Amino acid sequence: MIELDLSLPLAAFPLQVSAKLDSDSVAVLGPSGSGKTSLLESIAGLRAARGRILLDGNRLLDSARGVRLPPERRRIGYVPQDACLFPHLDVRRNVRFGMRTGSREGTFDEAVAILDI
Amino acid sequence: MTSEDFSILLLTVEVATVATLLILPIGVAAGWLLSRGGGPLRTFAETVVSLPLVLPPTAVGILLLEALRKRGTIGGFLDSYGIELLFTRRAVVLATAVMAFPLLVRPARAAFEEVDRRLPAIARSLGCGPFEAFRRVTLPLAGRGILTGTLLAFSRALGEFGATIIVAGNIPGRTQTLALAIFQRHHIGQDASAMRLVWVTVVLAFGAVLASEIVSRKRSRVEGAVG
Repeated sequence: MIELDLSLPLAAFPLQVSAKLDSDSVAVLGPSGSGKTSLLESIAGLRAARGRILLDGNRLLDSARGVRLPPERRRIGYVPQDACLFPHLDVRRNVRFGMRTGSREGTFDEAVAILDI
Repeated sequence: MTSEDFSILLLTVEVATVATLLILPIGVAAGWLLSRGGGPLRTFAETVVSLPLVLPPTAVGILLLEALRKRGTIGGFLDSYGIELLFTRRAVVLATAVMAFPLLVRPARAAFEEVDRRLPAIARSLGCGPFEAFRRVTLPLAGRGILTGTLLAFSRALGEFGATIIVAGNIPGRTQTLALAIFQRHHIGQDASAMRLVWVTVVLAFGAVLASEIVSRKRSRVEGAVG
């Protein structure tokens, strides 16, 4: 369950979203420039939005209480719409990037199996 | 080459290396900061950083001399700790560092600007803290630009003359680099030995600039392949 009540000033207009999302999958639809990416980036912590974001009861953002978890502590995977691999790394190192340092060698194959790629 | 020539060469390379290593972390940080900011403050900071490129080196030398005097702002502070800079090898390092600084910062800034902003952001979402994302993503992606700048700064440091002679003098065996020795030998009519040193500097500078060109070309080829 994701609870959102956030605002983010964009160049053209202030983005304001209030929603309770309790489905496994949610599609956000809207014309180009309506703030879909900005909304996702705000949830992932990559944009400085104000307001409140709760994920399964965990407070990711609560401006009133001064809570603002950095992206690395939100445990939210974010995949941009176009291919956005780390160009300085090979495939193996791209796949392994998110694994914590010190993980054993076999995890690459495990990751490939999990991701079904 | 005489043993004296060789000592001068060693001193020059040593000074240029120390000066380049000294400005490397500061230059990378400055390049990164300039690539991030915007507005009039950034323009002002960029202008200040670039000043040594356009000011006469002797003018930079005089400014440094004023600051480093015992009654000067920095000189007074250093003097209270018993540190003396003027007319020492450290003064040569300082003068060359100041003159070489913009040549490192400008390519570094351009390299940081070319890094897709989403990449470090994605690294953050994959569990990296801000410094780890910088170390694992931003820095390697800007690496070739920083290396190009470092080699350019090193090349500049090898040939620094104007600021150095003002703050460090031209003391044989102590502060006399290749550029200063060439000037002195030419001045006293030792043209043949001056020419010997000229060829040494030509070879050195050629090697350093060639290395920076090779790195820079490799960068464009990699970018071409990615794009």
